[in-house]
Amino acid sequence: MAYNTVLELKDIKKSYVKNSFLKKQITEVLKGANLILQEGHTLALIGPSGCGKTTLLKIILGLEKQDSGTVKILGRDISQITKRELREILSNIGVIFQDPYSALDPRQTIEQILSEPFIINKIPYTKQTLIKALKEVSLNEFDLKKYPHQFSGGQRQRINIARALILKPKLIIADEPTSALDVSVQAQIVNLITKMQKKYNFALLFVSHNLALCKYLCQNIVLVKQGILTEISGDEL
Amino acid sequence: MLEVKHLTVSIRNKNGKIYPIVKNLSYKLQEGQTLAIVGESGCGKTMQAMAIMGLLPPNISVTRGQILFQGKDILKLSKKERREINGKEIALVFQDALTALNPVITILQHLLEVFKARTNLTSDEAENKIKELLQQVELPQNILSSYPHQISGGQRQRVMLALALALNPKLLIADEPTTALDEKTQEQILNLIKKLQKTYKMAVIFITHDLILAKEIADKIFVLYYGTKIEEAASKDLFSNPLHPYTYGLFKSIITRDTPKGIPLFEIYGYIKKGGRFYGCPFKDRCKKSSRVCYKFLPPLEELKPKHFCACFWAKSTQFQRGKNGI
Repeated sequence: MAYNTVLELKDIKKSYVKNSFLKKQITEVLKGANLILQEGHTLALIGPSGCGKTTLLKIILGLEKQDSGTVKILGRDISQITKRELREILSNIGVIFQDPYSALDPRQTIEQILSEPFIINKIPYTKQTLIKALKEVSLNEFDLKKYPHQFSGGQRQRINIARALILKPKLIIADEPTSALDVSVQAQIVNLITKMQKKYNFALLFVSHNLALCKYLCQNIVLVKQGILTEISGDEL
Repeated sequence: MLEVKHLTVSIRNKNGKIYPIVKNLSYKLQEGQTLAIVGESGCGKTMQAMAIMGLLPPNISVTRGQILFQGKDILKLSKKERREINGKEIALVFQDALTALNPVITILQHLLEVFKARTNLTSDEAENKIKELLQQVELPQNILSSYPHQISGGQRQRVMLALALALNPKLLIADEPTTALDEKTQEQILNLIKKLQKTYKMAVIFITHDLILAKEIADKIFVLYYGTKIEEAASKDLFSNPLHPYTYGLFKSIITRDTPKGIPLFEIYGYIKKGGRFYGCPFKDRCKKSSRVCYKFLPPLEELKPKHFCACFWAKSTQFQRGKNGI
């Protein structure tokens, strides 16, 4: 079975320039990063803090520009297209953030939070689609009128996942989705992510400190060390 | 040394209603022993520690019970007498080191403050003591002139330990000292606590939600759920043979490197409830083994195996039928 390539990074280089007194300091964060991710596959990014993981994610999401190299999402180079096209492509990416407490706007109801992706991308939606998305993450329709502070950490992470999945994206980026949760809730969230992946067949880019979790969840593991990406097998961990 | 008897801590909510968050908790701790308290967030493990320290927030208070420290009930002492005990006899390491340290004064000033407030040492003597302390927590001397934001998370936690140990306490309460740190630093801090415990011969209460950490450090573990103690045992017994369905579920849902791929993880159904009074067992709604009895009566804490206490009707009724590895 042939897989479609969802994400392709080719020789990405990025360096930050720090202007100190009389002197320019250049720190290379990424020294030629290559990465291919296919539909339905799971890839883990691990590495110590400050190794360039976050920079790589920012480049993929178009929040920062690389110095050289190309980022291809669904086969299109995102540096050579207009802003409108970029937005269309980015609607194929869903993000699950690390901290469920600060990722949701405290002044919006769950209905507003879940409908925002539709409004931004100008896609028509009905209330039924929102209810369906909530039921998939085992919350019910009465929760639509509630505010984020009325939920526990695990439930908030479920809302996060529902929001990331609501446009049926081809790629999900999960940035340490369970590090702020308890052990028992962690198992629930991990099971939910794997169940959803089987259903929608999205590619998952998983960033975590928890090596055992990466080994359990992912087919490929990539170690980021001093700006260089190397693939390692699960047994080496 | 420390004995907590029938401690009940209650919260008063906005409507003026009072309901308990820690219920009828009793335990004993001897010199040199390590006790780990394990539980999910919001189960009251931090609040019972704050009750021992006398640092409860204004809307939360101890409504029943005694806390005996070396034979004296510290709940009945005046504020001044309590201050004498806090710090000198009982010390606390807070959860989040960055917020617990003052951002506008240096590490040296933090440590000097302790000696100035509590002892009659001159500043030269105090500085010598501080140097000794730094050696014990394995920090370099040049850290004294830096501010809390300039040092790493592990170093901050070491500074917190130095602050707690400054007056040679007999009891150290560590409230999730390693949650904000990564795996390697966690191990270092744990080893450091173990080493310091031997040199100072103090008792340690270790509060955590990580069962593996608790196993590494503690002699005795008890599991809190919704403010009630549901299981208590020596750490080896608890790991080899958990009796309560909740403890069993917690062990099962930990991901280790040997967890087989592709098989869904064991999960405990549902969420911990928020507030309010209820009848029966606190875990009944999430428990797959619950029966009608669980909805009517609160299961008492009973000794089901030698020195292994558990509060569960189901565990009691099936303890003779189960094999080695439980449920």
